[in-house]
Amino acid sequence: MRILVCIKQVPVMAVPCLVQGRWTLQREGLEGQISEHDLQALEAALRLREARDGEVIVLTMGPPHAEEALREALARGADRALLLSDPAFAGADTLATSTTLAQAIRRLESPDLILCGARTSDSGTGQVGPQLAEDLGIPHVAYVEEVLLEGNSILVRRTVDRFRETIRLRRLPTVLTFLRIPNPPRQVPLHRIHEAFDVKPLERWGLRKLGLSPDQVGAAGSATRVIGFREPPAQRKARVLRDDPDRAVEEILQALDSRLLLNVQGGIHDRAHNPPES
Amino acid sequence: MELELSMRHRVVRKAARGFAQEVLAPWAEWIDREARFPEEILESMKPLGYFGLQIPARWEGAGLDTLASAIVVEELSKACPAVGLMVSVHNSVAVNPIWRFGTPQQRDRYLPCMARGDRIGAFCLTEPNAGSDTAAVQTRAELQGEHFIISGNKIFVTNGGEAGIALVIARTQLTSDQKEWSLLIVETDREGCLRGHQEDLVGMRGNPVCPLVFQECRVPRENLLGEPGRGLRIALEALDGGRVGIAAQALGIAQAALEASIQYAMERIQFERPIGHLQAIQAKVADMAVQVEAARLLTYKAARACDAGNGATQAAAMAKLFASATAVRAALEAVQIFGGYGYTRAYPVERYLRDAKATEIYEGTSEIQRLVISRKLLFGRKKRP
Repeated sequence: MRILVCIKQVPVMAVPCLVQGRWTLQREGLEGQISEHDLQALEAALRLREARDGEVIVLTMGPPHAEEALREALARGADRALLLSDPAFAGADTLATSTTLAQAIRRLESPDLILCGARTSDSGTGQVGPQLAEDLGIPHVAYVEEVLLEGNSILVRRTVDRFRETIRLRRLPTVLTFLRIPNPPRQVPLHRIHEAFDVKPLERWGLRKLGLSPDQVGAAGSATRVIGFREPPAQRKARVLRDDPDRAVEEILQALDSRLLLNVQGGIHDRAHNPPES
Repeated sequence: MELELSMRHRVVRKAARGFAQEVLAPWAEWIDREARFPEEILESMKPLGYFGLQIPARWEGAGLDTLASAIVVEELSKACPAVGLMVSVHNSVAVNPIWRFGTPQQRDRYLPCMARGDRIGAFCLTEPNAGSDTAAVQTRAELQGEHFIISGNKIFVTNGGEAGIALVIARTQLTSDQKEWSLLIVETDREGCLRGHQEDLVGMRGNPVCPLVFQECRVPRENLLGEPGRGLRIALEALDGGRVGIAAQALGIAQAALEASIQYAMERIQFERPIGHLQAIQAKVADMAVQVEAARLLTYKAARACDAGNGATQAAAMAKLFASATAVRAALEAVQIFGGYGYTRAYPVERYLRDAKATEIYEGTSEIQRLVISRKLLFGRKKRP
């Protein structure tokens, strides 16, 4: 079984800071770490490999120093690593990121499973995993907690709206995004660090190797741009509706509609950007 | 001189920090109170390579350099200095001398089991009447046929209670030299090797420091480490690495004291705002940070000197002297910033102070470090006062 794990190096921040005059996080000069949920995806991958022979490949897109996250993943037990790095990739939103990752995955020997963290700890959109699956035209399950191998199919468990859901996936490859897993990620054995640097392979691919054009990646290939943000007011207004259920439903719908939360037509499927052909 | 850590060293730091903060830190208070290590902590460290830091992979070690080892000890000590001490002493003055001075047979016999952590190492130099004055060692090892017969008392043996292998300095008569000392590898389960009661220490309480008593303990002749009569020289060379380890340990304690102070300064409200807004507290935090960073640079420089292999005695003495003083000062200031709460056992800073003090004493007191440093400056390399 070939398992691909997408990880992101995020900054270790005591207090998040913005780059002067821009709506992006200050990352320069900060220590990096593997995003929390990506680490859980990696742990899940390593456990699957222990249950059934195979290979774990870690993949990241980032500046050259993101290599450190890949080396750490190799020390944790991944077999090989791929770093997608090119000045053209800078400033990517989730769409440009998933476009780049999907193209790399097409150029790798096809994996059986693609695992991601459900969301990153520095931006937390939770979009890259599902977008990746859409781009590749394969199924995905988000917020996975547990994966079990059962013959040729796999069972995944997740908790959604306080319900425990078990899904059987009969077709591979598939994308799974992880929110929390029952086992904490393993510690890094010190005697594996030498292998991570000197023995296990790490490849670097740039724009040319991926065969994408500059306007498909990075800031140029992004469909969105952050133009501002602020901390939401921390107030919660709770209203308990104890009336007749039909009237309560009516009131809830009205409340949601008045806040424009129900109006989703004409938005989400209309992408400004067409994914590259597979 | 390279001042930034390489990517490899950063990954080592991440690995050790992860283990120290996630696994070790929750036990630190318990270890101090109970004055012992929980079995599960030792067991969890064994497969992670903590007991064979610098040993090459062919003897099941992690193959790290001295700088990486120092980073590991720093991170462990930030969470629990008693465990940092065990790892530092085991590696720097027990495993490393066997690796560097041992015969091929000695390496094959002892390194794998020590690197796996199945046998913890200890280093026996100090005696009731021989501390800073290492030449006053009275323990004797008499060669009778194919065996040494060791008799004498070793005290304050770090890791003593857990040790499976002890390196023992003893007076011998193997050469024409009237005053000679040799280093012997002694399995502590040999007949005639007895453990005393664990010392009731002020700090580093988790470490099983105890006396080891040798009563006509028979050790095969092939357990002699290095050349006959060169024991003290090997010991002093091993102590260079050992002192880098203690400097790293002090650095970890100082960093812990600094981080605790920063956190508390922004939490504790007095005069209607966090005390971190008071200049008096700001000055303390700034001074601590400068000293900790200076101690780190000295310690890493000494570690790099060990790796370069062209004499680290001076650098190691400077690092240990400064880092241990920094740890004591930082812990004292942390207690002061915490005020009344800092003087209770409810917060860890009083423990930092107790633990820090030891680093000014063992593996050469601060007074001895000053002697080492000044001797080189005043009398040159070879002359001894």
